[in-house]
Amino acid sequence: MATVGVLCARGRVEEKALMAALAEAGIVSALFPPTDEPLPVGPLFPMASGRSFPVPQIVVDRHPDRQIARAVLATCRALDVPGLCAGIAAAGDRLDVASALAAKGLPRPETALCTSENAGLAAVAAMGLPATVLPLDLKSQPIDLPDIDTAEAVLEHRSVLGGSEGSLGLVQAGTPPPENVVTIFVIDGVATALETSMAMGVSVEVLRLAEQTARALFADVIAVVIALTPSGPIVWDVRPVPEFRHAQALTELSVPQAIAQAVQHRLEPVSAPRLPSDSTPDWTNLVTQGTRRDLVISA
Amino acid sequence: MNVTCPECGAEWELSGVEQGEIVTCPDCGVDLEVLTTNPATVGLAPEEGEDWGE
Amino acid sequence: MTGMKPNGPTPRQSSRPVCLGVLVSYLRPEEKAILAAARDRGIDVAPVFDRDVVLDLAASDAPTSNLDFDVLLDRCVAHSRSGYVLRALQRWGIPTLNSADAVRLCDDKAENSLALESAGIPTPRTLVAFDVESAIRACEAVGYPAVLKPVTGSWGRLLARVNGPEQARSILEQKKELGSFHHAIFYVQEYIAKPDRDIRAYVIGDRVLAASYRTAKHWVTNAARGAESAPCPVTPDIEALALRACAAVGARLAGVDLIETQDGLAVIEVNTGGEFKGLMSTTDVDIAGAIVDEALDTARLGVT
Ligand SMILES: Nc1ncnc2c1ncn2[C@@H]1O[C@H](COP(=O)(O)OP(=O)(O)O)[C@@H](O)[C@H]1O
Ligand SMILES: [Mg+2]
Ligand SMILES: [Zn+2]
Repeated sequence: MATVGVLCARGRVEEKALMAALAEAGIVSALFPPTDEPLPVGPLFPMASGRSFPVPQIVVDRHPDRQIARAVLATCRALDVPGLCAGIAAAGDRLDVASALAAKGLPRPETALCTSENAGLAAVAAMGLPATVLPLDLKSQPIDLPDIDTAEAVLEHRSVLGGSEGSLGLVQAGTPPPENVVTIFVIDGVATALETSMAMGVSVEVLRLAEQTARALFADVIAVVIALTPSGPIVWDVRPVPEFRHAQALTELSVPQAIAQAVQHRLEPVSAPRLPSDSTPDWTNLVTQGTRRDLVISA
Repeated sequence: MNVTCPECGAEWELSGVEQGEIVTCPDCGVDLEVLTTNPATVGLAPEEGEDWGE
Repeated sequence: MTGMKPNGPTPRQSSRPVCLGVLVSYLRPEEKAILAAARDRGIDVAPVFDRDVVLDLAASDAPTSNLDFDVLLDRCVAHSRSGYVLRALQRWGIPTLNSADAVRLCDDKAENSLALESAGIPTPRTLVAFDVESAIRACEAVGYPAVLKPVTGSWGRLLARVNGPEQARSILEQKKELGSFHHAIFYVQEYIAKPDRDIRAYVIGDRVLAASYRTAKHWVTNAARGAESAPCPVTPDIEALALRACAAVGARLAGVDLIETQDGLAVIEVNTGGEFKGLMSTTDVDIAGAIVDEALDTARLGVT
């Protein structure tokens, strides 16, 4: 049985790198959960299929679909399986994140919660343009509103086509140009890597802000998007499941190595079971997609 | 001709394909569209639409 | 497009009042006016709510589906529904003011534009694309600002003015991400710098009954979005163009949207379910009465 379940839809570059780093640290991992298998809710009920549910010791959240991730993480919690995840940013949405950061007094752009198209237009009128719409679901990308025509069209489309979920969103003042934005990967409280098209170096102040953000969100792993403004750095957005294939390391550990280390720290009290290298964790057999088995990297 | 999966980074040999053909990544299982044949490159295949069919 | 139906119902007996069905989704002021005008004329009139309709496609006549009228007037706001009802009535030989073909065509802005272009009618240059990238190329082709519209839609809903490629991408991505597949049929149109108004011309049969200006601060001048209606004289130009537009799409009862360009009038679209509440406030012409009279003629002649 695998020790670590990598919660994802598909093993992408990031998940493969993470599994390789875990294997390097002697930890068996596998993709999680078995795709077409109903999951148990709590320990009392057996699996609907009658099979025993393959419970890993820890789950690393790498799922791009935040709704699925939240559901599976909740199920894991009910089974006493801890998750390595982005904390409030994993369990909640952009409003939860913004509220938590505001409560801690961390610098953020002027932000309004809008529950309708008209509220969005009023927010834009008050803040001025350009502005940015951030859908509440962290899966959706922020949408730039450079002018009033775009603001009207985007807000109308979101409310007419997206229903209440589409109407709900944050409007933030401004649209930071890419050259003023840096994404910082914080793992277990430490700024580990960054990604930016900024010409200048990144100040310690910015790294500390990213670390404070991760702490305020109780995030084990998170990417913090920071915009540099004339009045100082502000937390623009966060990514609960960041791509890190182009990240530049700030420490001697790469992002996947740092995540593997974080996993290791959490496993230490219990000794991780090791499997002989030719065995496959049994629950991966439940995965109908045979290709996934290639991804199981055993120690 | 070797191609690289943009999703999982797997590399494999692709032959006898035409531009616009859909292939499956042998590693991660994602559907990919052949973008060019010389050199061979692949990108994520378009998502199936509700109005697609025979 | 029009003509005697060889197997239509036999011309009605003059002893019995004409039985007029008005297909509706709900009653707007327009439909109330139409029902009142019909009752004034002693017509046996009944609203038919689209939600109550069950079309028996296997039946060879209309009574099975409770649609045995002498004539049916489509005033549905749900054009996809009326398309099916009119198609079935066509099979059963019940005359209707607009044909199923005309309603279906006018329900789709791309079809509408294609029919106008085919008839050589001046209309803003329009391109259709099916992917975000190709739609951005279409925007570049018509130049910025460009206009994006849903192919099915009305009341000025979801119209977008696009000022550049990044803006186009933002809006197109929303359509693709949030909308059904219909919204990934991208209708891209040249933006016309028009005066702060357009013209709604109301066509019944072979004449333009009345016209109004619809004035607004916003570039989208639909009455449904709060534009002010004001009287507009029916000039020979308006008359000729509106009638040609209706002929091009096969409509006999329609609200035609016209805009004033630097090169004269151009047609934006033809609406088979045209609203006329705004227009009613600007003219003494009895539009509802004229529609009912046209329905009577249709019943008499069996024209569909
Ligand atoms: N290409 C255009 N250039 C300028 N204004 C336009 C253009 N297309 C539409 N409009 C304005 O928007 C209004 C609504 O457009 P229309 O195509 O009729 O959509 P709808 O079916 O929603 O009424 C028009 O009446 C006109 O005022
Ligand atoms: Mg219109
Ligand atoms: Zn792959």
